[in-house]
Parts: sequence; structure tokens; C-alpha cells
Amino acid sequence: MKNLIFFIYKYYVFFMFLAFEVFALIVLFRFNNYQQASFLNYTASTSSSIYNAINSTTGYFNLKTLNDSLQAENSRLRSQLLQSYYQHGYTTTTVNDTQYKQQYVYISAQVVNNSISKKNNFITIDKGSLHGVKRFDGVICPNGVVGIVWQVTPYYSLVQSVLNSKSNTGAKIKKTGDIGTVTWDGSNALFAQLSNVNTYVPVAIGDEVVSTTQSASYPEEIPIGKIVKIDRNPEKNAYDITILVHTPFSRLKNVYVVRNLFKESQQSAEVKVLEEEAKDHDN
Amino acid sequence: MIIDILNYLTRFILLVFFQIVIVNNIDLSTYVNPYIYVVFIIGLPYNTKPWIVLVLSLLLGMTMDSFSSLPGPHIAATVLMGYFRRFYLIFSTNKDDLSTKIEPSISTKGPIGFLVYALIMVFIHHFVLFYLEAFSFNQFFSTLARVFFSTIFTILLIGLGQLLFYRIAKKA
Repeated sequence: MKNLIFFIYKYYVFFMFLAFEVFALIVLFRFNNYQQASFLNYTASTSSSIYNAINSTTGYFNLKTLNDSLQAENSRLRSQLLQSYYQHGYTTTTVNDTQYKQQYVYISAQVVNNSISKKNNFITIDKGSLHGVKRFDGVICPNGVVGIVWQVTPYYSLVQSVLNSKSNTGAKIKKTGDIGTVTWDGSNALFAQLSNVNTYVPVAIGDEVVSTTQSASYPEEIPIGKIVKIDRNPEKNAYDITILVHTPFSRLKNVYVVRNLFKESQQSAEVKVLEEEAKDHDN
Repeated sequence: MIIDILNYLTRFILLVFFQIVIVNNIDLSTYVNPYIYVVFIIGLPYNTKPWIVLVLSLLLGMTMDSFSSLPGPHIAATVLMGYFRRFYLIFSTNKDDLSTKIEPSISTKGPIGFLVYALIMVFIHHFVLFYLEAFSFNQFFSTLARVFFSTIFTILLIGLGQLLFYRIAKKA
């Protein structure tokens, strides 16, 4: 026993080093599958308030471009208002409560922390569960899709950016309606990849790629990007398409969290179909 | 003694602040992510007790991790670098200097001696950091390129900082 204590005392630096490394790896493995209690919970209160303070000063530098993009969005939304349509004829239904039910709710949020240069990029926004944000809600900005809510705390949320090597965004080519998947290979923040588009689809450079309701996180036809390069993948009988993303990830400021009120019913319906298919398969 | 502690505390805070506010916002490319804060450990005096270096590495790593979305990589990388620091210093510095509170810098180790020392330390740190961040060997060579280019940029920044704050050693 005495020898053991002496041994540990003699090499205490090495043991300390081992203990610290094991601690780091435990922390890393524990939090790396994001299912576990969120690391954000522990650090959000301090680091987010520091980020907030930094943002409130640096935010002044790009106020002009922000205003421009908000103004453009306002004018676009204004043109969609009922007042800006000329009414042909007369309305046939008197009760349209049952016809229209709100499906999407938009929660405006500010980007608190953002990165584009890592392989797995995340964005912190200043709205959380207290404001109605839920996990897997979509996040969009005036220019296009941003990502999916990954972690929610009372005041902040962590968003998995489209620029994340683990992100999969359901998308379609606007002109033809054919669906594919948008992923990111981690090399350039301006370009993303569209895969799983069959080779019989007539794609062309310059075609718009937009979101679909497949994933239930985004509304239909939110812009994602524009096709700039088309390669044929000989192994999969599919195209490898490179798209130029519309969202300016490097200067992201104002975003909207999209809450799909019908998401649960869409997903439960889809799960039922899958379960029945599995049953048929067993029989 | 208290002046020394205050001095290093200020340096710690300034470096973390500089890293988060300025260096982290240099979005040159996904291959260039310099981490200048390691210069705190690199520049500790020769006679700093090894366990103090380790504890400071842990604190520095935890501080940096709390500003990123994934905890762990910064702690692991900084502690490993702090552990290896002593071995390189014993090998590269004469015995008389090792027991003094001189800091390793371009004025005490000479430009080439200091750059080699910084290069080895920064490479160990960035290597561990980027592979833990990627968390896989899937894109082995693209991660290696990240390590390589980021190390070059960190060394460039450290070199600039040294030129600003220290005087180059005169040739003996």
C-alpha cells in the first residue's frame, strides 16, 4: 500500500494527465450523441449572455444590409396580403373557418452564435421552449432554409445548420417537382450537394431547388439554392448535383422558427403506414 | 507573486476574448480555423510546476469548450499539449534556464528555436482537436488538410504576436 502511494506520488503528473484526458473523453462521448441532456443547458446562461453582449455591438455593422433584406421581404409579403388582390366575382362560401386552419406558425428569432467553418456547424438562436420552439422545427431566413432545431432550452435553441455534415434536407427541383436530398460535404460554405436525383430527370444548370413537406419541418417551396454543377454518378444511376445556397450563412441575423402544427399528425400517419408495411412483410 | 498571478490571469482572459471575438470570426475557409489561445500554455515560464500547467490547460480547454457546441475536444487537445510541453522543453533548453521564471519566447529561445517549439505544440493540439471534432476517420485526408493549414495560420498569428510583444534575440 505504501509502495502504491509512493508510486502514485512519484508519477502524479502522469496520473493527473490521464485523469484529465479520461474526463475530456467521457464528456465528449456522453454529449456526442445529442440525445443526452444537453450540454447547452450548462453553458447557455453564461456563454450565451457573453455572445449576446458581443452581438449587440457587432450587430450595428450590418444593419444596412439587414434592413434591405427585411424591406424586400416586407414588400413580398405585402403583395400576398388579401388587400392587394382584386376580387373576381363573389365568395361562394360564407363559413370558411372549416376550410382554412392554420398550419404553420412563425416565431422570429435572432442568431446569437453562428459558425460556418467547422465540419458540423450549429447556430444558436435566442428563442427557446418558453417561446414555443420544439425540437426538429424548421428554421428559415428571408433568403431560404437555415436548418433544424436540434436542442431546446428555455431561452435558447441550438440549430443544426444545413452546413452540417450530418444534415439531410428533403428537397425538390422546382421546375420538375422531382425530389432529392440536400447534404453538405464540409468543404465550402457557399455550396451544398443535392443527391438521389434519378438520371431520367431533366435537370439543367440554373434550376431552383426548394424545400418539400416530406420532412414535415419546412413549409412547401422555401428556396434552398440554385444548381451550378451536374455530375453523373455511374454507380447509383443518379446525379451528383452541386447547388449554390441562397442563405447567407456567414452573415445570418434574423431567422424564423417554423412550427408545423400538423407535424405530429403527419408523422403518426406515416408511422402507421410503415408499421403496416412491416406487418405485411412479416406475413 | 500576486503580480505574476494577476498578469497571467489578464493574459488568460485577453487571449480567450481575442479568440472568441476576433479569431473565431475569421471565416477564411473551412480549412483554416486558427486557435491562437494555446499561446497561453506555450508562453508559461520554464519553472511552472507540471501539475499547474495541466490544471491551467484543463481550465483553458473547459473555457473554450463552453463557447462551442460540442464539449471535450478542446480539453483533450490542450491537456495533451500541456503534458508534452515539459518533455520538449527539457530536451531543448539548458538546465540553468529551466529553473528560472523566464518565458519561452523569440527573445529567449531565438526565432527558429521558438518557432520549432511552437510548431510542435500547436500541431499536437490541432491534430487532436480536429480529429475529435470530426469524430471519425471518414474523411481522413480532408481533416489532415484542416490540421495542416490551421497550424500554419496559428503559427503565423503567434509569430506576429511575438514580434509585437517581444524583441528578437541578438545573435550571440
